[in-house]
Amino acid sequence: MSYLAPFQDQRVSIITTDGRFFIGLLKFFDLSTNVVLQDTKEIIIKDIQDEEDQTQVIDLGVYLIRGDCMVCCGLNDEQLENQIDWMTVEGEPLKTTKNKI
Amino acid sequence: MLFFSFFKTLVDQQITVELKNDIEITGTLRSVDQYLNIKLENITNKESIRYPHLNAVKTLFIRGSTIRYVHLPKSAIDVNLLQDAARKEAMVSK
Repeated sequence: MSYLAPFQDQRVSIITTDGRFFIGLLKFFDLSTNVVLQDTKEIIIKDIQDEEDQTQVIDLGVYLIRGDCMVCCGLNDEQLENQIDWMTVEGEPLKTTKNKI
Repeated sequence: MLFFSFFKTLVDQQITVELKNDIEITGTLRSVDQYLNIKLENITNKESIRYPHLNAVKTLFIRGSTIRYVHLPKSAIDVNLLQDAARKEAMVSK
């Protein structure tokens, strides 16, 4: 069942298991949730605790993200996305999904 | 397959999904598949100040393998029915 089908050719936000964050145009996906993004940007959000840190937006072009590395894939709402200036966003670094006991 | 059927009965309920990276997302359950991948609509992130990453997102597809917990509304679940179904499934698989 292709639950990513409604997201095709639209802009999506993807979080990976190693705590990275990508935004891009979803061009292709399969049942293992492997995805191919076009005009991919990796966004590294400024750490709110670290004064000297800065938000970075890195252009990556076409990117293939393997399904088992993906945590979630969100469909960006155009209006909401246009309101966000990523360069001014602050937050905490995402955790990975690998938790040590 | 029991929990796939179980989740299908919860479609359109408001649920909270806790991911293995400690993010908690609340939204309306739109669909679920055989891997227990979940699709939520109108999501809100309780800790959007700490994790602003999903602020532009309204509809979210979550990969089943990265889900730690799903918080469900008590009223939506018939525990006895679920227990019976679990017993039946256990009998069949023996």
